Amino acid sequence: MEGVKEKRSGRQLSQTVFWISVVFCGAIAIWGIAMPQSMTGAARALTGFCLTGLGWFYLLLCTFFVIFSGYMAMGPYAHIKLGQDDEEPEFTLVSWLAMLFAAGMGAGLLFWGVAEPMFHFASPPGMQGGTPEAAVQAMVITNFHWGFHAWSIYASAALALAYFGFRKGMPSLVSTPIRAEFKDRWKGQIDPICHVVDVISVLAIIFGLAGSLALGILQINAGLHVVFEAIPGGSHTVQITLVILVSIMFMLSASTGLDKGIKILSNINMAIALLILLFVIFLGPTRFILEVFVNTFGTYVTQLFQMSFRLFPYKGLGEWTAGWTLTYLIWWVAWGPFVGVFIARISRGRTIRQFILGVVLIPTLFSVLWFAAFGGTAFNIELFGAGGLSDLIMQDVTRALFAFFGYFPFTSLLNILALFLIFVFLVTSADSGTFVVSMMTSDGDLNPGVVRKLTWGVIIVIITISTLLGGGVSVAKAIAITGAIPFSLIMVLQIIAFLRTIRNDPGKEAG
Amino acid sequence: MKKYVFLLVLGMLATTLSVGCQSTGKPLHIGSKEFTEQLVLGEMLAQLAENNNIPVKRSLPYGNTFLCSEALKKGDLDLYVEYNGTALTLLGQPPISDGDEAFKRVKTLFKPLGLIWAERLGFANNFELLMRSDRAAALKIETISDLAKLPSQIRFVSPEEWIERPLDGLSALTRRYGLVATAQMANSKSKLYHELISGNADVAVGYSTDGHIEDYGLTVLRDDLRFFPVYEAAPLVHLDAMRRYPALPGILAELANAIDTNTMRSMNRAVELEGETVAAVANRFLIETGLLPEDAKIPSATPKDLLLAIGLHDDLSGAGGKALRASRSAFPKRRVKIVRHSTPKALLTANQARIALLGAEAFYTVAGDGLPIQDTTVEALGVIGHRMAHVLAVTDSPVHDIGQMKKIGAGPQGGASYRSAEIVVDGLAMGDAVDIIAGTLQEQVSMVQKGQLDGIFLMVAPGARQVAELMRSGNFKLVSIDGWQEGNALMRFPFFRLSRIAAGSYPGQSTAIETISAQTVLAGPSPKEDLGTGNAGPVAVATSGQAISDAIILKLNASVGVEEKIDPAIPSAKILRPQKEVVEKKLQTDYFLSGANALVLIAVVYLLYLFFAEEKRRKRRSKA
Repeated sequence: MEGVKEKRSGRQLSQTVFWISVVFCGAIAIWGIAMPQSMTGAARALTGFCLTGLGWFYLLLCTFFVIFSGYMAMGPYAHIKLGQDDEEPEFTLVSWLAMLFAAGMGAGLLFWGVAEPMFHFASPPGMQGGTPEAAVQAMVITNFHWGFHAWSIYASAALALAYFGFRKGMPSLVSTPIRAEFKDRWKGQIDPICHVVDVISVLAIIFGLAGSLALGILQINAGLHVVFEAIPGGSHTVQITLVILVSIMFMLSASTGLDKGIKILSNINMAIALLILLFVIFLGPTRFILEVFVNTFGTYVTQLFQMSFRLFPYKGLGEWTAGWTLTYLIWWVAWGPFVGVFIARISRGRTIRQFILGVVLIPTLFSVLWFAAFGGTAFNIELFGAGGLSDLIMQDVTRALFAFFGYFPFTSLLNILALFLIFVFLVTSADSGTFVVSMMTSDGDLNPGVVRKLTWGVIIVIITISTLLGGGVSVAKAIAITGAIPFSLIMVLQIIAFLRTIRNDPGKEAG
Repeated sequence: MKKYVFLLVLGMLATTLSVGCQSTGKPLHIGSKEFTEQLVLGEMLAQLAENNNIPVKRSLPYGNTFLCSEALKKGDLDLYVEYNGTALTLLGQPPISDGDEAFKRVKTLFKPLGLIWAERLGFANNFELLMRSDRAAALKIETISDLAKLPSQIRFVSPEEWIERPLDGLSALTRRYGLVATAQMANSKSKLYHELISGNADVAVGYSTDGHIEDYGLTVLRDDLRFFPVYEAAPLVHLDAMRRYPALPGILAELANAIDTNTMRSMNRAVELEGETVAAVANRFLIETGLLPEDAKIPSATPKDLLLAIGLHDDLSGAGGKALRASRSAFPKRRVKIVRHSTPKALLTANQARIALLGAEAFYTVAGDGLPIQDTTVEALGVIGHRMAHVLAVTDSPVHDIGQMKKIGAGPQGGASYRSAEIVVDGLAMGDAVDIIAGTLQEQVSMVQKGQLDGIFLMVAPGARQVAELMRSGNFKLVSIDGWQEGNALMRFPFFRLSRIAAGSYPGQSTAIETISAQTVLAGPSPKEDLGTGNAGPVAVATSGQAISDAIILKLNASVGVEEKIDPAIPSAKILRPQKEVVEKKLQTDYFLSGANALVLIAVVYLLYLFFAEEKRRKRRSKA
């Protein structure tokens, strides 16, 4: 009897989260299309306030995630398996590392690979731009944004999910750890609290995804204009067409189980991305790139501690920190549950130490190499070569990658490959995003229904379109951050619940 | 075993030797002198060589004549285009006016130095002494000897190199002709002609392939004593390079007599007066004459080009040229290209042009009776000059003031003249009866002559060619803009200042004309501020063109060389405005912010508590 009762309430649970999320997303999307100014204003005011006024808290929080990851890897819980004690890892070491690479690669690296180092080179905080010192600092700042901090956030999000999902056999929801640990303390209110947690997670993912999709579409639009001059750049028509193309592809995959096709596409993508990376390294200034890689890795690790706490209170660069560092870190927090679910899924059977080391170190190393190749070559062009790249990037950052390829042979081929890459990355991100959100609104069901997936697919598409048409990417950012700000507290709650549970785990090492 | 090792070593030796023998490592180093024609020719040679798979190193420009010739002799350069006349003077030889003779002579003289002259390209680029036609006619100066008629020291303006040349330069010329002269140097063509036309110099030393000569209707002074040798262009190449690249002689032969004087002149004009890039011009010529295949075409505006938007009437020898020069020196590593448009501001806001040459009126839109609306999406970065309102009517028209006009033609819709006309009509409260008509200048000129328009309104730099031509024709006169200081026009439109066109500024203008003028500035996009994060951050930069950086703005200002500050009525870049520090005496408490921080701290404390709290006893719970 109990069992039946549980099941019924289980289904009701998922409906609540689903409907609340849909209503929220829908409302914000409609508000955005109908009155873009007021929504823009509200969102930007809120995020501006939080990022500048509470910046200290967010930096501390993200640094806390790094420390937490380190502690988990090295502490008494290091040998606890994310699964039952006798389980072997689901994937071999090589496949696992390869999949981590794939998780680490994304349209973002393509978009910012050249642009971000150049931006920080041209105007670094607190020093003069355009100098070799600025170049070193630019690489450090870039890797600070994309390296250990980003991946520690994902690892932390994934760890809790993997532990409760595989070791404790509970549904993969963000609220699971909280429910498990605090259901006694907050008896009556545990259900509403968990609903709120799940809804906020869904909102964070949806808007973070919409923002990233919008940026990707802008970049494809610019790239198409560069390669085929007939296609106008910055055109809403082109952008909407692209969104529709992306959505057709990922909804096909989501609904017909053609995810095998998406998997193949994604593997091809990885291969092409690696190919382009090797191309840039070996046809670019190879020696310079490798030197930049080694030098950057060293300066980054050395400065990591300092940068984890650096806020420029004396120089009044609060806006810079809020605009760059905190925006990135909070955006990664918004993506936390999304990337976390995937990392968790592939890491069944790994020990916590293996997990942290793999998830944090490997993608970070790859990012450092990526930025060394793209950013390093860009510096080489600026400092020792033809130049002209940095102001061009300031003029139109969406064209950065394509302008960069202009300095290489086979420019058109590279441009077209890059466009293909970005497109497929957008499709796979949208596909995964829809899956994760459907799962989270189906009570952790690992195989959410097709209808649900399509519904979320449509919602994501509408929000992306309204972002592109209405306030632009700055609105998406504002909303993503609005969702991520409360979510960051939820993550802390998750971690606390996790720590409290794991200290009773028999696998914990004594002393 | 030993046999195999021996064969292996032999094989390796053979490979190394054959690789070494090819010596294709060293690229062909092509240089050029510093003026446009040389850059175009050098670029042509480079493109032809590359098309034949010869690796090329470009030094365009390498330096002046002396630097190039020394480098070639030493082997630092492999190839550049020289002129037979110049080459003779380099060797201290007397000038020869017969081109063929001169060419034979230099070939013989240069051979022992290991330098080979390829066939002549087909044109001569001689030094020409130029004067403004009106002055030359007034003083009856037709030859260089006639220059002695000038009352005082003759003021020359010329490229720096000419002043220094010992055998065919300034001092040699003045000694041969017995003239007393001073010279100022102009480091660019546009400056050279600007100095001559504005009257700062009496004589300009230009090249016969300069497009400006025809454009400005200048008089070429005849070299009556045949002082200057003829200067025919031909590639001069080091023998070693010919040996290293056996394809090279063939390539150079293809260019024999390929370029005539008119072609060279139009190529120079394309670069200097139309702002095209050297590479594009050279490329176009080679493809049109079939020396390069169609697919070797360079795309016309690569993303690396920086576009400077200027108005349709902006003269490249005046404001347009100044803007171009300033932009080139502020963005040294980008190719600056000019794009003409009736409303340059539109290109700027659409992020197609990076900077634009705008008049003060472009920053404002007239809105009813009150103050005009200021556009904050663009800001001024530096002052280029001024434009004045020129109102023209037919000579025998009864109108002497714009206030009497009912139908005014003002150039293309949305252009500087059109908008200024709108502002003037509004400021003078001329009422709704006045029509401002849009159209091209030519159309409107004929409409005025036919009586369909009362006059034309042109907002152009003082001395502009368009106005000068119309005045010279004798069919037009300038009329004044009276009454601007009455009413509240000065208050509403402070960027229009009262001015006067001095009598005699244009042919046939005998009285001073009252008018208004406005500054012309270089403008760029202004920084877009996001709440809290200002202009920083991945999203801010991803969605809009960034404003031009402070360092570049300062460089722009420095290179424009105009002392004047930007009119305070025009929105300008922050770094150019004097900053005043506002110091608050008391500490300002932001209660909202403090409240939020307090909440966060409380939340953190609660979370810590949650972490450390003891386990609630589970005894009470017993699930059935």
